Amino acid sequence: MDFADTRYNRQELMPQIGPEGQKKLAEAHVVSIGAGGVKSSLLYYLVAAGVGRIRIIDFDRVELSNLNRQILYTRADIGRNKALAAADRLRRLNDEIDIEAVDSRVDEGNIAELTGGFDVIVEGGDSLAARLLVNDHCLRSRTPMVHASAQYNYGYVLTLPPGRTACFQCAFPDLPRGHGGSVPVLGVATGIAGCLGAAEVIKIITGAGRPIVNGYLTFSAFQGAFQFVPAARRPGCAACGEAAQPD
Amino acid sequence: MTLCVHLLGYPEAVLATDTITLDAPPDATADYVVRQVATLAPGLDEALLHEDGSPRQTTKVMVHGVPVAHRTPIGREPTVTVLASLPCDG
Repeated sequence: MDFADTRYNRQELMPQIGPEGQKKLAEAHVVSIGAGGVKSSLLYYLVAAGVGRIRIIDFDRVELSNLNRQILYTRADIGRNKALAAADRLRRLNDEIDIEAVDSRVDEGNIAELTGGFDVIVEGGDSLAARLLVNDHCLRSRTPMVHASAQYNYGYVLTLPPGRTACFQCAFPDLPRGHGGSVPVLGVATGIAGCLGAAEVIKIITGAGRPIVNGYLTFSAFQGAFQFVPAARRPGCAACGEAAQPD
Repeated sequence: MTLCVHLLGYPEAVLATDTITLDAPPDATADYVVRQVATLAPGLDEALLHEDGSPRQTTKVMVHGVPVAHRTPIGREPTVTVLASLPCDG
């Protein structure tokens, strides 16, 4: 393939992507639970890469204090639902794909309906309970999950191909309960985590490279340091262990 | 002995530094180091330790970039890393 001034040419020139990989991206359906800081860069790059259908689910409203990191939004979006505002912004980047906005909070009663039929779930809960809910759903529905998170100046990413590798709870079996509320966070930390998450989604869809599995890749923005932390699948895991998955 | 402790993730963020030094006996174990780090700022104990004072499994101690079991003697290592990549909470 030669250079041409088309939207995806510069990635189609890559041997790991090419026209076949681009076709896979165009046919892929990705759902993002949440549209906050990490999802801002993550969604920008999935949309730019040409993922064919993206659903964005978020119940929250844009606030001024979001704008240091949630780069999907501007001051004009304050007060708007994040899913709707994100979809509007992303359609301006790429109007050749299908972008849906859902103003809703994901819970146990609606997660199957809201995420059914999607090839990859990008997890974005802002509480431990929400993350465990998505983890359990991905295991039950056998849908790959990409989880990326950031706070302060650090973050991490991991991918869960259900039933084959460590799940979120294998990697983080005994997290503290958390305090909720507003945590300190540098925008670039969420940006890095989101970019890493987008790369994971693209790897899953195209088959290029190796997803980050059986552990997580963590980084410190202030140290410029990346560290892979291995985390094997736990036979006794409450979410994916033998007792939880009798099949 | 003086042990150089490299911090990553939550402890680095809360203590606002990437390295601290600790006085540690030669037979100090990884969980000893975690407990010492946990005393250095309010909230670190809950983040790094269970209520009974044992380190959480999500709190990692790494030697030469490799996680070690919490009971591993590390007092003679020049540098260890304490890492806790807690997810965003809020």
